[in-house]
Amino acid sequence: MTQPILAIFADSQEAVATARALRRAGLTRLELLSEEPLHAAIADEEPKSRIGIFAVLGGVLGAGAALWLTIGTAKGLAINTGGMPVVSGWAYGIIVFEVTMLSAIIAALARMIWEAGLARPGAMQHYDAAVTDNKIVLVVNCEDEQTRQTAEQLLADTNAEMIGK
Amino acid sequence: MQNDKATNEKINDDLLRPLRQTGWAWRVTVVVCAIFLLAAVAAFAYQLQRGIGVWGINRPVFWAFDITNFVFWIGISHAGTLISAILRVTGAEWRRPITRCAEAITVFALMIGGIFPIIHLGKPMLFYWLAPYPNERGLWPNFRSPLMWDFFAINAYFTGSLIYLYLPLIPDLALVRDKATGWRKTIYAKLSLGWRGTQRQWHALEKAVQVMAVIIIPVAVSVHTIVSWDFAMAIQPMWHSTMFGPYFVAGAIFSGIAALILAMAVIRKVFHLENYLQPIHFNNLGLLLLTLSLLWFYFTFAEYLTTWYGNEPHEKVVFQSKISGAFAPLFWTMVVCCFVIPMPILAIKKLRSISGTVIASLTVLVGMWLERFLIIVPTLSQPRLTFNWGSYRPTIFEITIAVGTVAYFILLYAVFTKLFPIIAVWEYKEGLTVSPLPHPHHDPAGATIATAE
Repeated sequence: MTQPILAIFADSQEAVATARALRRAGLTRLELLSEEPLHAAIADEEPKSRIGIFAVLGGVLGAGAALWLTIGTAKGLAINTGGMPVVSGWAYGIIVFEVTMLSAIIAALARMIWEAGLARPGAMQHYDAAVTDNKIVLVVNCEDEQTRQTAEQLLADTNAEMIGK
Repeated sequence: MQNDKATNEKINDDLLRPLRQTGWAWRVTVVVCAIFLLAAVAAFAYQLQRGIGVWGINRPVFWAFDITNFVFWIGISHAGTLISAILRVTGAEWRRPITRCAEAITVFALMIGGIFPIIHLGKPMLFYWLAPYPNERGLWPNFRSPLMWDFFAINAYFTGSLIYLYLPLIPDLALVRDKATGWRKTIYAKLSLGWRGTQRQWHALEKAVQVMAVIIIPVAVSVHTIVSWDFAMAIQPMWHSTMFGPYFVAGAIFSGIAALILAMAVIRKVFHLENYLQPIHFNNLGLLLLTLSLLWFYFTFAEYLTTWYGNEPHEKVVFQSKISGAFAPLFWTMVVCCFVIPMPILAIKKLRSISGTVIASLTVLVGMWLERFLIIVPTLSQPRLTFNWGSYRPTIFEITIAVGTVAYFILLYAVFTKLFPIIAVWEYKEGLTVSPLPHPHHDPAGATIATAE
């Protein structure tokens, strides 16, 4: 793998069109950086998200933990208070609900951080602060020297404001 | 199609200005709030030293100001996350400039609300005994107690709301990171978790926010329902009601929207964000407030009508004390503040201006605080056994702590606005590209329009 190429565009539509052209030329390891979501680019990349599934799994885990916390510990301690049943489904259901939802939220957050590649070493590699000046940065990761040349040729024909490493 | 360069720079300048510049209004607010907060801390310290005998509570009124404030603040917390989540789920485009203002209210209101039960414990340093963990004292919480439900519900809602506030903040933290220098840049770099704005990141963020919006709505509803069950589970006159849950939730959203309108009006004025927080936002929130005002009146009427018609002696005593007895002035003030004043202001389009909605919101907040007080104190002061009747009058210590926490809330909010963009910059910009609504910064051709109101 060679050093990636960074191309800065002023126009998002041109950046997306360039990314499409590069994909057609066989360069698939691309990233478009922008300061707001580019829905056309997201549709091209077709990223798969499992955040919803993880939220459900987190909820199931949380429910299990809450059931253990309420029913498990209540049975373990078996303290009789005011002649009430040791295990109270109505009352414990509320705690199980809250812990279930909390676990779902935390699982969704954890999965989102994982999917977005956040909070990991080198997360800021291949970045240009021009993004926050409303520019679109196209990062082309080249497998070898040949693909690199292809990418450079294609980018040279665009209105990119800057092309560099 | 993204916004043109001039529009983009103007938005960045406007929305990041509060972080860069500190005006006199902000400084005065912080100093005044800090003074009130210090007074509250002093009152609390005095209470710790002398015991809760310095309060006005006495048999049979064991819950009064602290629990009123607790319920009130938890209600205010419904301004943010719940409203923001509903607007996101329904795809309401006008939500964009207001979501963060609202979400921050939730987090700070929950922090303040959570303080009161701890203060109310009398020995607040022992509050951690509520937490279920193995300990040498042989203590284990009673999960059947509604107070334990509060513990779990508020913690779940607070954690969820904090995450829900933080997630859409990440791209804006990256924006501030790129504009900052020195130690600020380091801090914002850490907070933004290495955000670059790849489409994969945007997709994950949008998906996560959607999922969380769906999860947080039932949590928010459950929180105030559970707070209402603190009362409804007790066989006390005018507490043991099946409709207390929805009544409290409606009241919470009612007071929450009022708090949001006030916060928006102040932010708009102090930070000169007139082009972002526009009359349409106040109009739409005003319509929501009107709906909630009518709903609140309906619930209140239904609650009091059934009590009156039932004619159960113990309930009737509490009922009469509110309608025509010792608590009548407070009760009728509540009705005036929650319905008589805001309803016409919000119903008449001409009056539903920014100042109109602000006036309505102020009265609603006063009315809703009184409503919380009137739920708690009249019932407790007139229990079923008549020999045990009592009364309640707050002391200066309770009032100082209550006022101090209002100041604390404003202080936290003011500090937040200095550290983070109070309007979601990326969401606002995205709105300009996808929303069909006209924006003062942008015409359909992409030309920048003058920003004068």
